Amino acid sequence: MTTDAEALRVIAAEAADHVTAGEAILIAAVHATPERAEVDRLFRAFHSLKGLARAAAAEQFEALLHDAETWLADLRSGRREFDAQAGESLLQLLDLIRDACASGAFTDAAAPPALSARLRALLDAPMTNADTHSASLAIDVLGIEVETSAAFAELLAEILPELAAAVASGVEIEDDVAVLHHAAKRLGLLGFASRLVRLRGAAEGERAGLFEAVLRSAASFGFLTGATTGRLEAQRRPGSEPAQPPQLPQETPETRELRSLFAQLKINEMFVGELGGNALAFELAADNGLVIVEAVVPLPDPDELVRLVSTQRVLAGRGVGGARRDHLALLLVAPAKRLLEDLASEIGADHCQKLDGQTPPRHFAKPTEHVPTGAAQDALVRVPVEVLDRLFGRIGSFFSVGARLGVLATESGANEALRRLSDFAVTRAPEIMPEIEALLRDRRDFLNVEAEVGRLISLIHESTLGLRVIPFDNVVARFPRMVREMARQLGKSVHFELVSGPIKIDKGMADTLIDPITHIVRNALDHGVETPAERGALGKPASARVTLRAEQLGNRLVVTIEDDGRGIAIDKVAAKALTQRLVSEADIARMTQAQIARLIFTPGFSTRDQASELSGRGVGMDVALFNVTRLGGTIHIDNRPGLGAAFRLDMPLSAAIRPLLLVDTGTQTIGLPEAIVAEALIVPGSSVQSVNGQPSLLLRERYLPIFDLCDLLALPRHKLDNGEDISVVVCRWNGQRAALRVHRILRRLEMLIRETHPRITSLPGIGGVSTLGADRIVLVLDPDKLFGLASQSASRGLRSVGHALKAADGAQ
Amino acid sequence: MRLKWLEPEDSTVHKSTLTLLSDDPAMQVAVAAMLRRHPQSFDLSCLAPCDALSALRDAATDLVLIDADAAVDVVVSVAVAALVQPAPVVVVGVALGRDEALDAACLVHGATAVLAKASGPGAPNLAGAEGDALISRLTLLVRPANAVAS
Repeated sequence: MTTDAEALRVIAAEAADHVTAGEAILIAAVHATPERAEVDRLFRAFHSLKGLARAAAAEQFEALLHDAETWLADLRSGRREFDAQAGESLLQLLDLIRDACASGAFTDAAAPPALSARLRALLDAPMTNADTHSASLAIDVLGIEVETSAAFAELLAEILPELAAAVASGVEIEDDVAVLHHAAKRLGLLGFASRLVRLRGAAEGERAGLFEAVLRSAASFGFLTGATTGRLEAQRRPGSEPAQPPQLPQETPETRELRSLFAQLKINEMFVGELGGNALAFELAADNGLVIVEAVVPLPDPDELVRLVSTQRVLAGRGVGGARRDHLALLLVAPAKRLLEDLASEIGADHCQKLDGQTPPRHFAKPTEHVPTGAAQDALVRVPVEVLDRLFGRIGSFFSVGARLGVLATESGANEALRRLSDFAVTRAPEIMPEIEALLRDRRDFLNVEAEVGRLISLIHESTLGLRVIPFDNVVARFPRMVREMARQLGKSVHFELVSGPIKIDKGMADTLIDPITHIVRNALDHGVETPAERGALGKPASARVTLRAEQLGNRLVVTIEDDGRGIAIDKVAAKALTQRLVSEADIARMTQAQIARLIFTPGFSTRDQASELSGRGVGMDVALFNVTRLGGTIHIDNRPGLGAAFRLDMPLSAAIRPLLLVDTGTQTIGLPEAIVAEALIVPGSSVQSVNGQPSLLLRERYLPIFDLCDLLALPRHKLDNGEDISVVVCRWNGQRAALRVHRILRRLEMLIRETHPRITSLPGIGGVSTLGADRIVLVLDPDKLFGLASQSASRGLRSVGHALKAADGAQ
Repeated sequence: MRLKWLEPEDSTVHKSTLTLLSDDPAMQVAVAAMLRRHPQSFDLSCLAPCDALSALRDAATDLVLIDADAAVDVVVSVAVAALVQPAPVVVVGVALGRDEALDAACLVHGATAVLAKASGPGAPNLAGAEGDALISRLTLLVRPANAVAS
């Protein structure tokens, strides 16, 4: 068994998939008894988990999962019914596995005795849908009642030795075989029965061989049921020899060469299959002009696979892609000269990598070493977040130094000064030319060092960016359980829906965001959602719907928590705010309904007369607003009295390293997210003309609205040089295009966007800041805000700026 | 050697059913692709290993093909299949042919044949020459009487 760290990580990752799948079904089962298909999926999830526990030698988990699987098998067969208590026990088991996987203790985790007892109690409980007789009988692995199995084993133990003697001596065997055949058939052991039929009809010379097959069936029966079958006694008699395994293929020079090649390329030979039967492998061993490429394609259908195999030289393949295994990883043999891009394009590969022995293949890797289970955990180092924070702080400083170096390299006047000095010295002072040439060499060396530093920064970026980000799914994974528990405590029925894509966010941001989401969800359940009786009276479904949806919009994260409850009672909020002297009557009279609704964010505010265990103490919603504001975000409330409420948390994805195009407005350096930059160009000033009062850039015979970046951002305007060339950045966002006029286009740079203070993000068009060196602030644009400003700034002559921008986009 | 029963004009030929025990989508596609190239050989039925017991008891099949790389415990799967199914049980896997103990255990518990996969756990080359060879062996197991050399 492979027990290396990598294998355990893979097992833990697979287990996590099955836990998630099982948990979703069990939580949904709170509202409705699971359908047969869901029970099947649940059974498979637990069955797979049991297999993984066995693979990881996690004996305690394997035992618990076996009990759970047995109970689920009864549920599948209709002998039991799903109930909340069983669901709770199964969920606790999944929790335990999830925690063990997360902490890397899957193999060694101890099973709590209480949970073991609960699962045993589930199994011991009488079956609800079975008759009294069958309910008292256990079923073995062959689906036969244990007592019946034992009786059949006794029959085998009695008859097989006699049958062996009869086969050996050539006497009549008809009666013995007929008895066994009848019993096997009655038990549904049709394979066993068919072997007996063949024995009964066999000529005397063939009997020994056929009897051996019968003995093997008896051995299998004993192996599966644990019963003694008399097979050993029968086998000791002459005429019955055990089956011989086939001869293994001999090692040849070619297979030795292939093994050496696979080891060199870090390919796990076990993923390739039998080397002797793989003609291509031998071709590979013989031809040095061939290379191995690893490619991953979406799982083809059978016809596509036939085409793929007929057009490519496939060495090996395996299903990959998590629990769904919806991709096929392939090892392909290709001529060394073949372009990887062409190959990837031809087969539609998501991933394509030529194996060179440096980087191991992703899906066919050879374990580097075999380490015992206990030591496997040493390969994983758990690092406190504070340590990562310090590391990121220093990496950020290093980025700043690198960026300053870049500015020195590209923006300093040293190159021009040296050129002029050189021109002067050639004619006027040739005696100092050696010194000037030395300066030029130093300058070239400096530029080379700067380029190398830039390359290293990119590498550090790649290897550290993933350290602090975690999947948003992990952040919100706790909510289905929390909602379920709360709903139960409150006597409410809630269907909770979680919708989040593959979003990754900074760990610090995740920690800050947990409280706001928790408070808003709690409030929705406690205050918003009605009891089933109240909902029934209002004509609503008894089960309320609460949705938590997360979306990444550009460099912003938008989390929406929506319910279909009663909404925020504006009158009640206003009355409470007056009672608590948070506002005056005059204030209330002036305020809109939306403003009154936002009073719930006031510290100490609560509409509850008495605090419940869950909410109503007047703390929470203020914390929610505080934390989201601290992240540079906003909370928008969409209140629909009687129909529900939606809270939209909109915040920048902060503390990330992003590629920016730096431009200068003449007074301020601005960073444009590379994602919105379509092109940067210098055009004649005469290219800008007025179209319906809107300055527009004539670009490739089309007009594009153009805006001065200083005007949009309300920055001091640089001196205009009308008639001369102008620097323009064409931006594209959400199907809109616009040109921005800037003073100078500087360079592309990867920069660390700092966690942003609310005052910075409240500046028009700005989403974050970064620094170039110690004294130069870079304001980073927010695409949504930028295009919003462009819309507002567009001239009145246009019917709608949005239309104009889109029209311009369409024209491009 | 040509197999008489593979002749398309032979009206006496009827298709057999091959039941694949594997929940690996890659292997299922590979076997389906293999049968696409040999349309008169087998109809395909796929079972997940965890459903094997109940489904195999009820399955009317001519051959059980167990994917050793997808089975939680391949020996148990073989033993169950061989006891409840009269059809031949064939095991395929990447470790077979090189793991003597596993080969022997499968044969002892009723496997008719153990065969190595030559192109990895997903066996994509079953859609090509590897599949042609496997089909020949499987059809000989199912219909030896029809496999008459011409």
